[in-house]
Amino acid sequence: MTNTSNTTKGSPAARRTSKGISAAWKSGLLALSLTTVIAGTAMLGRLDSSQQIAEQSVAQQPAQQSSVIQQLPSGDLVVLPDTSTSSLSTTSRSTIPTMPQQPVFRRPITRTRGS
Amino acid sequence: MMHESHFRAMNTEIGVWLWNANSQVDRVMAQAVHRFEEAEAELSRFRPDSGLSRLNASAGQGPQRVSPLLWTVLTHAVEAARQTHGIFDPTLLDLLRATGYNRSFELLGNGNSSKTVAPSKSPWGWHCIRLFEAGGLVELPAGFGIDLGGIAKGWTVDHVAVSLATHGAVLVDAGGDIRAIGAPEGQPWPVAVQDPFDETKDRAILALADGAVATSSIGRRRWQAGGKTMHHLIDPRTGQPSNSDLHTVTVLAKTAEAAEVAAKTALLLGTAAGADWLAQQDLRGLLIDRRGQEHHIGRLPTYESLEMA
Repeated sequence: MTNTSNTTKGSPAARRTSKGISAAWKSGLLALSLTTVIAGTAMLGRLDSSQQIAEQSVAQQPAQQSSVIQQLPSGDLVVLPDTSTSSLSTTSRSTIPTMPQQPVFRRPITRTRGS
Repeated sequence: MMHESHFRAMNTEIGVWLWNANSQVDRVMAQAVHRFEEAEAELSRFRPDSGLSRLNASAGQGPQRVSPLLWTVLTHAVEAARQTHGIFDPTLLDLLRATGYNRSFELLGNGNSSKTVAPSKSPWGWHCIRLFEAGGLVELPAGFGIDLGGIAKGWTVDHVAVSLATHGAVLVDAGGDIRAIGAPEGQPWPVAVQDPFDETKDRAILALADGAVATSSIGRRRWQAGGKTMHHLIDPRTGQPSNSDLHTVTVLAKTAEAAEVAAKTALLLGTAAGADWLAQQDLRGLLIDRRGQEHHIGRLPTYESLEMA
């Protein structure tokens, strides 16, 4: 007697079709990953370039000059550049220098007189 | 930076202080001098060619056309008379002359005059001034004369201060009529209140910003006539130099003109009525009576940290 064992797991044509779909998925996934990596790299490159431009721009700005008020022996007030802060680097200057508040008057400017 | 200019006009010392002016400061200061000279030329009763002197000379001759400047100050004087119920009265010229104040105080000095003071026969009363707005005409009855002295000075101080205020904080002082606009670096102008009984001393230091102060006193502009001590503050209710119990009144107001009128009115009214009147007008002031006692009306803004004379 002849036993014919016939294990059937689908026809050869169906198996070929299934393998084709799987390969297409893998190719698509690979292409997508590759595109993401390339786009990410390009974006990081642009950001790095912008950062360099920004740093150059800050470095090219003239140093901000602060000033102080001094009173002359005559009593007049004059505005002078503040040399004590002019050597600071621009990156460390994050606030506007404040002007020292000095009294304008040390004595009455005039007097009442009866008329 | 503070710029200041001092000169003489309207028979008194003028001081102008300007803070933070631009490079045109010389031109601006010259403008201030010019405005004072212009006002004096038109409003002085001591200059025979002034618009006011011409108006006084035409009393009893019908309506007269006056300059816009004279019209403005005259209308202010009439309005002040109305508001003070005639205690401030610009028509006392002949009474002033009768007391011996017939020339500028620089010429009058503190000299004695043996001339007997004759009572004035001329009428007075602000309500007799007729103003014709159409055409800027003014009519004075025969015998009437106008003296704009104090109010003209106050008005000019205000006028000059306002015109200079576009260039920075400014203070203008014409013989004690003082107007400030703005405050240098936010710091009010310190103005000492002179002790009327000892001119080398001060009673307080006012902190003045955007306001005015003026002082009326019987301690200045005094002279001897007919054996009597006279002064220039005539009480229109009696026609005589004031015998109020007050010696000196200093008033703070929005304008020098208002302060000048209020100080004179309060002095003539005396301590009690003067204090009431100032309070009604919502004005602050310092009244010093003939004994030297102070009466404060309202709270005066003062500097405590500056040194007084």
